[in-house]
Amino acid sequence: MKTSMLQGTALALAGLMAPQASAQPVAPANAPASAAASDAAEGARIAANGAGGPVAACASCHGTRGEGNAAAGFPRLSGQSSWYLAKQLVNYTDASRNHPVMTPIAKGMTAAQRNAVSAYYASLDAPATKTTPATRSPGNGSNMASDGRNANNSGGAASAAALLQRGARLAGVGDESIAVQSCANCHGPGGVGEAPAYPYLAGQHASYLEATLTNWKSGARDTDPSKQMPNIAKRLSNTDIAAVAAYFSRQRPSSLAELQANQSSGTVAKPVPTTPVRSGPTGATPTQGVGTEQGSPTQGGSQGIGGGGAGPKRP
Amino acid sequence: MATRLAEVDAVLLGVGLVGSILGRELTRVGLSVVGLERGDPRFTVPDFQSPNSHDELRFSTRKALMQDNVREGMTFRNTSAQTALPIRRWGSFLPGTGLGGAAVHWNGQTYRFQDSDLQQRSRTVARYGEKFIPTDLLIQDWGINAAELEPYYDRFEYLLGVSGKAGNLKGNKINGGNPFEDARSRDYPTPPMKEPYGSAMFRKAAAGLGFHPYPQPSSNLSQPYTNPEGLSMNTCMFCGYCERFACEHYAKSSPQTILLPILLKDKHFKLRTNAQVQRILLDSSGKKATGVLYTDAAGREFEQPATLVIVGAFALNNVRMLLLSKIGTPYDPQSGKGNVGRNYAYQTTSAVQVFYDEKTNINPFMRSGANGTVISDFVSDNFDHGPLGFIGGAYIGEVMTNGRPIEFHPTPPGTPAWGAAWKRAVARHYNHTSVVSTHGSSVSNRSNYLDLDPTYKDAWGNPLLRITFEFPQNDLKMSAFVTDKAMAIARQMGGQQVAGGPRKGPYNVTQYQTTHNTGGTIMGVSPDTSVVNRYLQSWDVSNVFIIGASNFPQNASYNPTDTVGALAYWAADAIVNRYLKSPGPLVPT
Repeated sequence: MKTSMLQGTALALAGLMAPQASAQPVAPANAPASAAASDAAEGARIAANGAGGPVAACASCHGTRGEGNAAAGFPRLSGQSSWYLAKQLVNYTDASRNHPVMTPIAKGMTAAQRNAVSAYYASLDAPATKTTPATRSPGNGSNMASDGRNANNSGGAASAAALLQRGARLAGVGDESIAVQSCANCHGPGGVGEAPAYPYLAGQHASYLEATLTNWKSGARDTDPSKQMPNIAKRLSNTDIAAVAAYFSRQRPSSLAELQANQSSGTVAKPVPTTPVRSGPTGATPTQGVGTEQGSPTQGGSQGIGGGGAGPKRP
Repeated sequence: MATRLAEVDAVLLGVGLVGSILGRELTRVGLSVVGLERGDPRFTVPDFQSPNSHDELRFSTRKALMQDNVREGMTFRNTSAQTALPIRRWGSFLPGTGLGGAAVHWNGQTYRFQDSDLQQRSRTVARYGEKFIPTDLLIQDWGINAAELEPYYDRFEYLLGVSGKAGNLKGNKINGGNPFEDARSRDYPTPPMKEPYGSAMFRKAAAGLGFHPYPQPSSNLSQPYTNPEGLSMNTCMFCGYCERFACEHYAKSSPQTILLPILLKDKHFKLRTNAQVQRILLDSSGKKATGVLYTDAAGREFEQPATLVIVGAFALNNVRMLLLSKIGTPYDPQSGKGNVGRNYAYQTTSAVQVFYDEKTNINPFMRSGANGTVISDFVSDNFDHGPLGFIGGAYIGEVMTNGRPIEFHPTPPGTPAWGAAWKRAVARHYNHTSVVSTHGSSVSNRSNYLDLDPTYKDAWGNPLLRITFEFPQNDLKMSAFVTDKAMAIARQMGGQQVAGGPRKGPYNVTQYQTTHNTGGTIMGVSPDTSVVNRYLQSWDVSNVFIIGASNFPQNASYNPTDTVGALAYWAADAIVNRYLKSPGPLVPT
C-alpha cells in the first residue's frame, strides 16, 4: 500500500511540475540583513529556477510563496524555521526520510544550497490558503478506507465534526488510554510551532500531515532521535491520524511576524541586540541581588540554595 | 460516628511511590488492598499537559502540587528553647500530595546509597576508632548492608528505567561510571542522558584535577523504555520543568508512568482519593492494629478495617501518623528516651556559580531534573576523614535543572537586588552562568527531632508535626571542606568569575534547599534505638509496616528516592515471603 501511495504521489508531481516550473517566487518579506539575506537571495533563485540536474524549482510544487498544495499533499513551507527545513533536506540525503521526488532533489544540492533555500522559505510570509470546506471529508487520506471507523460515511458533516473533535482533543490534551500526550507540549498551543526544532502544524495541509504521520507510524520517516514522534504515531489509529491532520489544517497559520515573535534571540531571525549591556557590580547598595523566592534571596538553577552561593547574610 | 467498611487484607496510607509498589506487590499475591490517598487523582493526560503544566507561578512559586498547608501544615523551630511557628508557605522542602505523591514532582536523581552509608557507625568505628564520632551524634547502622539491598535496588531501577552508566559491574570497574559505587549485578536499564554544555565543562575540569566524573543517574529517560510491568515510557525532551512540576511526556518515572496503570486495573485493588487518614486504630492491647480511621472529602468518617497497615506517606507524615496513633514512644530530647521522632536529619547543600563571557552559551533552559555530571570522590567515606574531623560527605556536580524565567536570575555578588542595574545583570548573565552544586550528608544528633506541636492543629483538629532542626557543626564542617573542592573545580571551568560558599547556619525553613527530610521512624537492630526492624515492621505493633525516608537513621550524601524504592521492594518481599506465612514479629525482641 505504501508503494502504491508513493507512486501516486510521484505521478501527481510529474503532472504538476511542468506548467509551474517557471513561476517566479516573490521576494522574501522582512528579510534579515547581511549573510542571511544573501542566503535567502540564493535560496530564492533555487526556489524559482532549481539548481540544475535533479534539483527542480521548489516553487513548482511548494508554490510561489511556499504555500504548498493541499490537493497534492505538498507541505506549506513559508515561515517554517530554516533549521528545521535544512534538517529535513539532510534527512532526505541520509534516507531517514524518503520521498521519490524529494530524495533526489536533496541529494542533488550542496549543503550551502540546502541552507540557502531553507533560509529563503523561512523568510516567506504566505497568506493562509482557503480552508477546506467543513462538509468535505477531513483528511481525505487513502488510509481512511481501510479503517473501520471511517468518518467518510453517511454521517457526513456530523462525523466530520466528531473527527475534528477527536483531533482537537489529541492536539490539545492527548489521550491517557493510549498513553499519547498533547501535540501542544512541543508544537505549541494550536500547533503554532516552537522554532527552531519543532515545526508549526497550524495551517499545514491535512493531506501532508496525514501522509507524514503515516510515515512516522510505518518507520518510513525516522528523523527524530528521541523517538517521540514514531512512538506517538504508532499509538494513533488511522482515524486518529486523520483527526489530528484535519484539526491542524483548520488552524489559522501564523504570520511571519507572529512566528518570529516566539523565536529566541540569538537566532538569524532575531539577532542579539548589539548595544553593550553593563553588568554589576555597579551600585553602592550592600544588598546582594540574587533573585527572590518568597522573599528570600535565591540564586536559581539547581537544587542547593535554589542554585548557588552562600545564601543571604544574616545578622 | 464512623461508618464501618468491609475488612480488607491491607490498607495503604498514601498512594505515592511506596503505596503503589506495596499495592502492586500485595495484590499480585491475591491480597485485597485499599489505597487511601489524601489528595486528588491525577494522570499524565489530562492533568499534566502543556501549556498549563509549565505555569511556573502556579507550580513553582505557589507550589500547586504540594501538601495544602492551610489545612495541614507543620511547625518549625531551630532549637528546643524556641517556640515553633507554623510554616505558612513551603520553602526549604516541598512535601507532595495527590496520587503518585512526591514522585510526581521529583527531579529523578536516582542514586544508590553505599555500604559505608548503611553501616555508617560500624565502618566509621572500624576505620577511625570509637572516639572519632562525637558523643552528641546518634548515627547508627541500618541493620541491612549494600549486598542485601542490591537486588531490590536493581528491581526498582528496572521499574523506573533509570538512565546511567555502571561504574562497578559485579566487582569490575567500568571507565566512565561511578568508580566508588558498590558492585551492581547489571548495568542501568537505559544509557546516560545527553551531557549538557555546562556539565561537559565540569567533566573536563574535574577530570583535570584527578577526580572521577560520571553521568548522574536519571529517571528522566534517555530513550524509550518498556519496564517489567509492560509500561512504556518516552525520551525526556529537556524542557526544564521537572522538580515542582509533573512530566507531560511520559518521560519521568512516576507511579503514573511506571505502575499505576497496571495497579488500578487490578480487581483486588481499590483506590480512594481525598481520603484523609486520622489515625491507625489499635485493639485494646495496643499491640495489634485493626485498621484506620479516615475522613472523606465530604467530611464523613469511615473505619477501614484491615489485617495489615502499610504507612507509606511522605517521611514527615509517616512520623506524625505514628505519633497521632500512639504507636511507639515519642522521643524526648532531654532524657534521650523514646524512638518516634528521633534521628531527624536533612541534607547539607551548597552551590557555586561560574560566570562566563557572552560567547559561552550555557542554555540553562535546555535541562532536565536529573541530567548532568557529578563526582563521588567526596561522598560518604570515599576519602580519608582522619585529619578532617567530620563524618560524611557530598557529591559535587553540574546538575542544573532549569533556566525558568521566574526562578533563574544568576547575578554576580555585589549586583544590586533590584532596579535597572539588576535587570541589566540578569540579561547579561542568564545564558552565561553555570551552577555547580554540592549535595551532602546530614548526621542525626540528640537535639534534632520531630514531635507533635502543643499549640497548632490541622483542619481536622489533630496536632501538627513540629520540626526542631539546626545544622550540626559536623555538617557545616563537611560543607566547608566539600564546597572548597567545588570552588576549585569551578575555577577550572573557564569562566570569568566564580562565586559561592559553604552552607552556614542557622537553618532557614523559608529558603528552598531539598525535600530530603529523613528519619523519625528509623530502622535498626534494636527496639531501644529504632522504630522498625530491618524489615520495616513496627517493633511495637507487628501488623504495621512503615516505609519511606523516615526509615533512614541519618541521611547519606546521595538523593534518597532510589533507597526508598529499594526499601519498599525489600519490605514487600519480607511481607509476602515471611510475614504472610507466619504473621507476627519478623525479628524477635
